[in-house]
Amino acid sequence: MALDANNQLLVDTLEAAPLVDGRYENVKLVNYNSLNDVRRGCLSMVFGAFDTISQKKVALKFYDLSPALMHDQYRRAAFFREHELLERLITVDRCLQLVSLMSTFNLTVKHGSATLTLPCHYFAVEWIDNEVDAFFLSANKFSAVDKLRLFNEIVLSVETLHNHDIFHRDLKADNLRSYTEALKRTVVAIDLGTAARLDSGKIQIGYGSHVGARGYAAPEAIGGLTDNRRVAKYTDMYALGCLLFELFNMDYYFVAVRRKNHAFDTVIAAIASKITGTTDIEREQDWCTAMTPLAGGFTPVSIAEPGSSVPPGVVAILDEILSSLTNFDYRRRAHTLASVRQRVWSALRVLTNEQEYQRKLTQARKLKQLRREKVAAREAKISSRRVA
Amino acid sequence: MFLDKIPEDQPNLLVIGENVELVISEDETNPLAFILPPTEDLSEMDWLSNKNFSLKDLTSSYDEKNKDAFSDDFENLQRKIKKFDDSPVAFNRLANLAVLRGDLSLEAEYLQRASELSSDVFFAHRKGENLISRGLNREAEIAFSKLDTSTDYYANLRLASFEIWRRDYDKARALVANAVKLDPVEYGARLFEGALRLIDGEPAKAVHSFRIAIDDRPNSSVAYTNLAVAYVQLSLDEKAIASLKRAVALNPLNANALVMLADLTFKVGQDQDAVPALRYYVQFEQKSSAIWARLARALLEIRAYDESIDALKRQGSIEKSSAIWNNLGVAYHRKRDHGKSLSAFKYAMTFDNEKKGKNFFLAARNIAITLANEKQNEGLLKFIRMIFSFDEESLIIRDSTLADLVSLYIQTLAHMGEISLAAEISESMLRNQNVVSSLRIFAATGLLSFYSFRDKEQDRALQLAKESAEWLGLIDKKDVRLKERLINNIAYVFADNNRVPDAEIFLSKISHLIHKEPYPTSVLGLIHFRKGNVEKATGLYDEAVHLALDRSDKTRIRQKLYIELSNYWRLSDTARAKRFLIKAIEAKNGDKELINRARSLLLNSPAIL
Repeated sequence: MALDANNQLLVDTLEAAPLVDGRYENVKLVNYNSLNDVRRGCLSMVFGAFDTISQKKVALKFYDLSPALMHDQYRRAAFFREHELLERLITVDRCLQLVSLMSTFNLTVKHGSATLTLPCHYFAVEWIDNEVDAFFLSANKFSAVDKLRLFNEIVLSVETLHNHDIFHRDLKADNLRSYTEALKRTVVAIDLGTAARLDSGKIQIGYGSHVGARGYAAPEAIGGLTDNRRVAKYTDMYALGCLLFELFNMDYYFVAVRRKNHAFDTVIAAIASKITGTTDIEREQDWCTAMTPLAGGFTPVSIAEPGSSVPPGVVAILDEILSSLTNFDYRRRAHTLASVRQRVWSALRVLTNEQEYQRKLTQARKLKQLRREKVAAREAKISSRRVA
Repeated sequence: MFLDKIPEDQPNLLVIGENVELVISEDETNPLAFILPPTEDLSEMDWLSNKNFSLKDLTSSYDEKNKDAFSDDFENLQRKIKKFDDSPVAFNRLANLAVLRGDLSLEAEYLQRASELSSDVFFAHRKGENLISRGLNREAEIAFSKLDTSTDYYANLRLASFEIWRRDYDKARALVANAVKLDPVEYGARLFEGALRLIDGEPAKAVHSFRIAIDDRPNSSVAYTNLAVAYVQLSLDEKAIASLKRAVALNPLNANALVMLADLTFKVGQDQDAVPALRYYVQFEQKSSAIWARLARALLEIRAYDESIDALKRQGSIEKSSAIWNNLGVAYHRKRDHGKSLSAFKYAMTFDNEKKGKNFFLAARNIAITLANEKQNEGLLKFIRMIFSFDEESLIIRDSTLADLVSLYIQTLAHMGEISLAAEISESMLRNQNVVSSLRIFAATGLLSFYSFRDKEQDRALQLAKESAEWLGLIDKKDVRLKERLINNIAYVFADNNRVPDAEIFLSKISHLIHKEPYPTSVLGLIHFRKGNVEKATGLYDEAVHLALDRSDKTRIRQKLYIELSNYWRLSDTARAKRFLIKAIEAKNGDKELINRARSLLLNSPAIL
């Protein structure tokens, strides 16, 4: 979709301005591809710019000026909420940093002979260049150790948000960036457009659907608890589980889980149909009550699904992590991300210690062998019974 | 005699309805013309038809949401793909997103790109699956057959499924065996193996396969359902029910398991076990006629009549059929709401009014039973005669349930005093080769009683007893109660004709009923009379009177006792013998045939005169 006239005017004005607000130069729209008229993100117009004060590249986030969104209370509130959350995270490591607080850029609009001034809200955040997409899309180029180290960093970035009672709610590879300092890679979760705090008020009553990417949305987020802050932590955990799976597998987790559980969406729909409460607690209770009988037949997805590149010696540990992050029942997901990292480190230790790896590998093979022997014994028993 | 019990109400609801076109044709001379149409129920069904909630509808809206949501992701990844154009993972993800958008051709393109970058067999499998999804089964089979079946577990199973489609079970068996050899503990192969073993008629082995599948995937509702099928084939109904309960607990929305559970619990009379699961299911899916039918049946069995009627109305709001209205009539009948019951049956008849198939006559049969229970004998005879006139293909006499119309007709004739006509029709039923076994037994049983009460017909009674004895072995298990009555009457005829050893042989076949049921007990009494054990005989008759629940049965047994006592005292104490005969004649509401016999004995016995 082509940019509307308001946004186009904003883009033209900013890109033509030698210096915005007396400090930002070389302003360039970055979340819009003019070749195919596709824009990323739905709340804002994102510009890359050079900050002449900090001498660093920054991202300027302007509220969308399209007439359809300009007076949308929900989107406007979300835009301001993002800024508020970022304010709380100033100086917090592993978090996206504000470079300048919310300001207003006065856009001059000529309407016939009249001239109007349109106040445009924006704020600036640090520009983090490195995407982590390659780990997910060119997984074959990275070792299991590299992938787990990255995952550990991702968990740390989310854990930091959670430690400040902030829940991202749109975790996906696209919303992760990394930077390297002193040879150490740090991951930061960007785009807090849909993030919320535990005690932040709701900006919309009765969400129609999940917020954030559907491919990483937890069952409870798809099924009616989207706006429930009390479960938002677990929704982030679910997304982390999806990311872990995708580091080692060909398919998206969204696809893999539905391949193994054909009735996955039906079960969510069934549970959702039973949510009638009005308060968060009531709705949570409704969800849990309806889920207990309906989700019993859920078959977990293994980290070692067909086509997986996971080393066999760590399958058991990673399966444990995956299951603790993506359990259908959010109450059974990991309670803290610290415990997840501990297990990630266990896997890393196994992978970096050949002797330990061989021991785990033998253990896994023995387990499988034992099952085979049990089945063989049962088969022998049945054939002997037949002969008798 | 022909004055047997009125056939039972339709014993339970028939759950398999058929869709028939609604044809309403009202005939003013029809005895049913005064039965009001079920307008209240019809309007309720009409109202409910818009209220039925369906999870399937809701889930399809999720699919639509997925399509929209993943279109953006797809375009986003498409933009990036240049950066990852050497990565099979990236192309596979594009293929994933293409499917989520509902574009299988595009999925095929991206899988092709991925497979050009990687020799991983994963992509060969996915390409094959894509072909199947696009309906290109032949191409898919060729693709899978190019894979190495000595190492490729998945290819073996897929190829086996193609063999199943073309019913080449030997080839399927070999391929599945190969897969099991490659991974003996894996779910998919064992599930497949179990299914094949069921096809081969080896349920015990199938149980073994399904058990291993369950070990691998303990939460599989499908595996538990299949296990139940194997148990059913082994006639282990209890185990099958336990397995189905587990299947339904794991996935309460598994309609297959639920239908089977409902049918099986109904079969063994444990309907209460299926009711909670059926009730739960209809909270989510209210557009399944099969489930409403089963819920209604189970509720009727546990005497929850109102809820059963509600369930039938729900079913009626989805599907319009004679069977549903018939069932509704049965439910109202059980609830003793005869007005609504007749109304529903009449409406059921209108569905099949032109074709006049089984459903039409089934409704007619149910109306006849309701009329019989209300003792509307004249109307009943008129109604049944009209129904017979519609039966151009002789459906009634060929179906055990519909044949109740004939037995009711014979009984009603007997009630109305037209015994000879009843006997004549019964004889014609015995001669007709197309008559269903249950009706033949009914006719023979009644005729044995009829002839045995008439002195001049004793030869025919004996002849019929011998003939009937010959086809006792051919009677179906389901007709066991009718068979017992026939055996009782054969024994009676032999005993009555002083052929005590023969009578004893037949009575021994139903010895389990002596002291439990009135007639076998009285026949034993008769045998004792014939042996001269009067005291014992009288005791047994008294016991039979006590056992009889129906007043007319009590009277009939007493009448027979008086006749036998009269016979015993005939030579030694004629006055006493006469008094017994008078007692038999004067019995209040006594059996007319026995009264006639007593009268004949009184008149024809010179000793008494």
